[in-house]
Amino acid sequence: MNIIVLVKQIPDSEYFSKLQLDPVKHSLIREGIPAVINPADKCAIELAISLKKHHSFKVIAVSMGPEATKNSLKEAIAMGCDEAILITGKEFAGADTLATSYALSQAIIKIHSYSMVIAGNVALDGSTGQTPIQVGEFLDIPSITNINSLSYHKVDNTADISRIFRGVEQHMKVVEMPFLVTVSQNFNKPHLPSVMDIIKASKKDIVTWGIRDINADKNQCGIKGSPTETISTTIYKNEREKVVIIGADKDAVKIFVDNIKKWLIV
Amino acid sequence: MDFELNENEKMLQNMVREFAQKEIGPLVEKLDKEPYFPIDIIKRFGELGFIGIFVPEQYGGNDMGHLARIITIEEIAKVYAPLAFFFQADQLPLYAILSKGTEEQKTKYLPKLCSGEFIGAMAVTEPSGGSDPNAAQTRAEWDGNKWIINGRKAFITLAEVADVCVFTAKTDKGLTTFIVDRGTDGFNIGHRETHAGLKAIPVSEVTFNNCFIPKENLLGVEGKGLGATIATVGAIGRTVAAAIALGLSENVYEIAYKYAKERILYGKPIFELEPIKYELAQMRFIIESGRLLTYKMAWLQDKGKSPRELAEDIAIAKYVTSEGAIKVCSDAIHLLGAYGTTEEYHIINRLHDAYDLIPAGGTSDIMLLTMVN
Repeated sequence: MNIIVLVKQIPDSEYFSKLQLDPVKHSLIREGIPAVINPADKCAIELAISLKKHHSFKVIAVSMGPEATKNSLKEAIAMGCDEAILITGKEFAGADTLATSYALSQAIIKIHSYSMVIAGNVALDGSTGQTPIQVGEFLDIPSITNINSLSYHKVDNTADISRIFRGVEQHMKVVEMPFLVTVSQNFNKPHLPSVMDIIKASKKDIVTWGIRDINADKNQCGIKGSPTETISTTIYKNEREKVVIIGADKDAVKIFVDNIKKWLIV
Repeated sequence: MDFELNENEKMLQNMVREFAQKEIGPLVEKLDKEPYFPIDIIKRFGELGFIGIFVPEQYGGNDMGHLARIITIEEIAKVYAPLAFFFQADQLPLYAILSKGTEEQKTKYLPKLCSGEFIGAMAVTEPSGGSDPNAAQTRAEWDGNKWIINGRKAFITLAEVADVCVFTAKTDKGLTTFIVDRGTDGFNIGHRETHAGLKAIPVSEVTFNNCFIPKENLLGVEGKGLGATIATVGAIGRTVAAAIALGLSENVYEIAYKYAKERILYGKPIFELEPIKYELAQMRFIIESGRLLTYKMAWLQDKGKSPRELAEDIAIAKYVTSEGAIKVCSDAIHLLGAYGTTEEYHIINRLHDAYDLIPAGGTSDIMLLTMVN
């Protein structure tokens, strides 16, 4: 039985302040910025590995991106994933979340046999949170977001899941496989791979699939398959405006009040 | 020449960096204020495979090589140099047994040292000095059945917590290396030294008082201990000191750089002032040149060069990085002004650590002699 984990490689958030915008494409220039696995996706990997240890699942990490994404998939293998698949090719470039979800779901359909899909709830670079749910829709499987716990029962092939929000805990039972869940970056504490894990991972190949391998419609991939388009992007800078008011008479008070009204403090 | 780290080395670097930031970082404040030997972190070093990173797999290591070893130590030192100093002592007996031990000795000690189950130490320096190991006064007498050891060693890092110690003693044939297990009758830990720096790692005296060592604990060849000791100290003691000094300098540079960007003077960050930029540039120069020399030294080790062949390269790297670390710390203290010597910024602690790296593996004077010998 397989567990599929969706993995995204993003710029390291430690370097977000150094990211620059491409003025033409309105997207982030990622070259020269160290890349990491999205933190919530690491938690997804950790959950999958935990299920593997207890129930003998095979864990397959799947990602879509350029060739450099292989580094993150190697790390996923070092953490304990059995296989890693990279969907890559120029046809996928410029994809929004819908086109990305389509490509990922096509890869999962090709894998064919799986019990669950686990994903991070949101990627720190885009923060839409849309991709995993859209994957669930393309696959026509139940999706449960932001879970708090998951217990799988091999005896009857079911899973107990809980979610917590606004002080309320929901309990759900999944009785039919497959299903999809998302986890936040606080779900668990991903373990660090050891040096030996890194060495073993280096000896494993990353499978790469192109558009033909996943039998995808090119009109649903990349820019062609993206109904959304970013038309402008603004980077907000935090700056302090200094206003010096000298005096304590009525005029000074009026300047003070006008300023705090201006900045909508009251 | 390819100056890029390979894929495995980059993954290792990222992993160690994450480990150091998340698991050692939160302890820095406490360790600087009330130093203690954090055995839990030491166990993690073993669990993650850092200790035996250059040791063949058959003996419990990972066989990733010496550049991987240096990268690991550098990343740990970037967060907290004293804990990186653990490797300076623990890996000495590891290397000594690996290079000179019998198959039985390697099988008995190396897997446990690599896993962290055993902590190791190497006792060479004596109260009379350490720069001339051949002047050792500790004696080993053979009574036909066993070795009888008498003498004292000083400034032995980790001796207090070590499960196994490699030491030198003079026999009739000359300087010889031996292995002693913790708890052996006649082998005692003496007083603990109180250095200004690297305080989280215990340093003590050890004494041998009619200590009986079985013949199977002779390490290498009787009378050939000087070469073995110099090789071990060069290959491990000095290279580790260089990596620690490099990481320490990077740590202090980051603190100074961040401070310069945030401290406002005359309406703008002091980073905009020419003298400050000049000071930071000097620090940067020390770090980048130190890194090139240190990585080159480790890369040559991985190419199979012996410590003897690399003696000058190792001495240059150790000299530049360790003396450089003192300069980086001193300059950072100047840059931070009144904050420079406060506990808040930890730079004064790092300066003490830097000074304690000077004699580790051989003083700067010995490094200079080695460079031109």
